[in-house]
Amino acid sequence: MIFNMDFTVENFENKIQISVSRATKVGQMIVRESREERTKDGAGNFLFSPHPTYPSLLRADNNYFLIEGSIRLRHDWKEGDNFSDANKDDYRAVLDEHLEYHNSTYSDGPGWCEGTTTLGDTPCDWKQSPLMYEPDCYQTTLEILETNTRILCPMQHEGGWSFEKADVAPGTTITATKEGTDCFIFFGQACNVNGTAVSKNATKKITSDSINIENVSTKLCRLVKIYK
Amino acid sequence: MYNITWQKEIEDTGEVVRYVDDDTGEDKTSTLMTMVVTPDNPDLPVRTYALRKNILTDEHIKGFEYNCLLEWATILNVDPVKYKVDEETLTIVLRGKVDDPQKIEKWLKPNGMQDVEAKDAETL
Repeated sequence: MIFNMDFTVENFENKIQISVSRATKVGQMIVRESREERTKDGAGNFLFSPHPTYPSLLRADNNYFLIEGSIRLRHDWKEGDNFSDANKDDYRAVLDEHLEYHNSTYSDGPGWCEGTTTLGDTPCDWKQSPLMYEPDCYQTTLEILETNTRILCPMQHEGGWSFEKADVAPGTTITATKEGTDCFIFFGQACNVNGTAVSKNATKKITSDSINIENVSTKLCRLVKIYK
Repeated sequence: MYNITWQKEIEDTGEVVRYVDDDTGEDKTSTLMTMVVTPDNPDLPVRTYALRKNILTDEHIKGFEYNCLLEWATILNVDPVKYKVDEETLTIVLRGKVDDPQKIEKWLKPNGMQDVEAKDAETL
């Protein structure tokens, strides 16, 4: 494992850990170097599960979200991995369901594929992470491509959490509905919620059925909803 | 991965040097030692250090080699964000490389209460 960036970590109710990278530099990276290095819950159980249609793909367990800046995500596979060159089209098909190509790139070759993603400035409604599924391969690398890129990394004390994201343009408002029993929202930029100021990088718990979130910053605001 | 190797040659030149003992204030003499550090990569510069024999220690020698390695890494455009010179092994290693299985296990799971105390989120 290679892990050379700093995170600010908060533990909410011993249910979900919210970590946000800070003061990142170009070239910093997180590398999972084997299948055994996939993330686990608090009890040490792996969190991944196979894709319902494509067994060479796994439902991602790390749930990294880009909050600001840009990243490169690369997967490497070798003989013996569940994923092989023959499965690249399957992965591409799954990516195509979610990936926003106006701010992302994709390329591949023998034994690898990679993509870059920039937050950009195009708003979007609530949706699942495009990186929800990933190749079942030995190595995955997340690399910072822009100074002060922010990555959100929620970690589950017990599995079963769901994740959605939305991007709100400056000065505009989006509605977030409460889902599940425990529902948290991470705010990528300063917002105003029903008259209450919420600061950048804050995590709040929703107890109302729904809230209206106004982005009062000058940048696109990524919101991440985490619920169970 | 970068692998910079070198040869070192330490020689007592026999040249007598005078110095003042910092503790006693006495005038003393020693001989001058030189250490020539020659990289195996001919594109990198050779470096020579000189020091009195009475203060040349293994720690000094390692420090000289470390400084050479830092300079050579810069010349070879080794990315300082991704790599660093390890002072112990005198090798260029990836920053953040975690080999200890126990430490890896800790990274893979959320931190326990002993590391990050649980708190309630403000509600909306």
